This record gives sequence, C-alpha cells and structure tokens, in this order.
Amino acid sequence: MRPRDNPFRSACIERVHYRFPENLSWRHLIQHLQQLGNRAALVGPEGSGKTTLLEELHERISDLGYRGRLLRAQPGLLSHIHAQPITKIEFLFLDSAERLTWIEWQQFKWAVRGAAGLVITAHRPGWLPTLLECRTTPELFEQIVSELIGGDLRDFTPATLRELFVAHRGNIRAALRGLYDLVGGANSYTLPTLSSKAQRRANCSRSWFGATK
Amino acid sequence: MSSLRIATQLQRKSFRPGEEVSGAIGWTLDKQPKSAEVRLFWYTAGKGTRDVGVVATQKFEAPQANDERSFSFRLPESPYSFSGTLISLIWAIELVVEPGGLSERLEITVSPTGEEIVLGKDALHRPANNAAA
Repeated sequence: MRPRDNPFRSACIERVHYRFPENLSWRHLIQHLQQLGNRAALVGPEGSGKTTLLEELHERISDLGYRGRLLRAQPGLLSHIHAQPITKIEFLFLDSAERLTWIEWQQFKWAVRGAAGLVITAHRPGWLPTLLECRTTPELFEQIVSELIGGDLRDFTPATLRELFVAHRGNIRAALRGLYDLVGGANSYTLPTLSSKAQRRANCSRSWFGATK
Repeated sequence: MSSLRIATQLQRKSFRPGEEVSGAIGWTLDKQPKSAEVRLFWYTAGKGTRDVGVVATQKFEAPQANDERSFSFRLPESPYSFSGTLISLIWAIELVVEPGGLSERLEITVSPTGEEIVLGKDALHRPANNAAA
C-alpha cells in the first residue's frame, strides 16, 4: 500500500481525538482544573494521549475567555518567554515538562507566575497537582484502529491488536506506527519483545483508565 | 452556504516538470472575503513528520462574495510525485479564503512520465547502471 493511502499515516493519527474514560468529560476536566487553581499536570506514559489532550484543551481554552499559548519544553523556552512576556489573560500549555532540568523548571514557573493558568504534560506525577492520569487499554486501541480504518476490523483480529498493544507496552502511538508498517508491507517490521514481567503487567491492563486524582 | 472550486484547464491532473499549470478557481460565500489566494505546493504523507513546500502563491485583489478567477503556475523541475515505503510526495493546488480559513485542494501528479513514481523494493535495490539502462 502506498504511504498516502495508509490509514495509519501520521496525518490520520494526528486527527484522532482524545477519548475520555467513562464518567469524565470536558466539563469535568475544566471544573477540576479550576479546583486545582488552574495549575495542573496531565500525567501518563508515552503514547497515552497526554499531548493530544493538551492540544485539544489549548484549542478550547478561548471559550473560557483566555488566550492559549502552546509551548514545547525545548532549548530556548525561557528566552522565548522573555521575548514575549506572559500576560494575565494567557493560559499556558507546556508539553513534556520533564525535559526541563529542575533549575529550568523553577525558572520557568517564576517566569510564568503571572499567567492565568498552566497545564503541563509529564510522565510522572509531582510537577504540579495531577489533573488527569492518561492511561490506555487494549479496548481503547481497538476503538482507535476501528475509527482509522472506517469501522471494518476484519483484517485485524482482536488477538493481533492485543499482541501489538502489549508488545508496545500500551504506547498507542507506537502501536499505530507498527500497524502502519504491517499495512504498508514493510519487511523490516517485527514486534518488540518484552520481558515476562512486563508482559504480565501489560496483560493486566483492563483497568488502566485511572480516575482523576 | 460556502463553496470553493478549483479546476485545471481541460481538467488535467498530471503534468511534466517545468510545465505550466493553469485553470480557474471560484467561490460562493455569504460575505465578501478579506483575502483569497491560490497556492502551488507539495507535501509528504506517511510515517513520521510531514513536510511541506510552497512553491508559488497567487493572491487575488478585491475578492467578491461570488467570484471566479484564473490562475497560472510554472512547475519546477523537481521534486516528482512519488510513493516509497515511508512516504508519498504529493503535489496539490490549494485555494484559501479568509476569514475562516476556508480551503479547497486539488491533487495533481508531477513527473516525467505523467504518473506517480512508485519506488518498489526492486527499484530501490536495482544497481544504478541497470536503472539507467
């Protein structure tokens, strides 16, 4: 299959929306964010949807009267903030906060103290109060695959998808890239191997969707 | 209801490098737009980060709510439209009308053969002297 026709090409994956766990919605998320004083973190492992949710929250924040600014934790972040000082109506969204050193994080927090709000993504809790713990499940992966291929899962048995999900340790982005290779016919694609302990842990993932802290 | 249209001359969809691409664009909007422009560009689709190259842009003065204009671009010598294992390179003409970011896109093929070049396994591993033969 040509890359342009592959249903798992990056342009299609980027259009997949974040799916909230049951009993959660945008309204709940915003309420919880306000309860946390508009300073909070989206926490979860790689490929669990943190960045997707952060970007969608960034798009929605103008509905609350704020101006959103999306930032990446990369070299030059502080210079960028000093060049364009933060205003009181700005709501900041920082992706991959753990890329900052402890000192950079302290400097960043000081530089943005006047902002209306700050939401970050991180792999582990502890940076800011946790707004939502992003988790994945094999069922969620199956739903996303179904959406990307137009609802017809006949080419992928649940066992294949589960195997892929487990092999990528629940990282949905990586598992979708694996499907890109499988569908595209890349000869080089092999499933990553897991230690037996990691395998057991990944197989016990039915309740991975965590509630908000 | 808004509608945007792009059509190339004689409804052509495939072109040779260096050729001229011309045609007509049109739009029907509820209000007079602030700006309207047509772009000739290529982009990549596939695994990984997408790449885009805007080759030429043509802006239209004083666009009306219901309007039709003509456009013309000279295609560069490269890159060609192709599909490999990791990416496809796709050429397109896009009409963008503001405000609202309304857009319409028409994909075209640019290559010496007039068809998309498919880089198969055989083509990739063929020795250079055989490939040239």
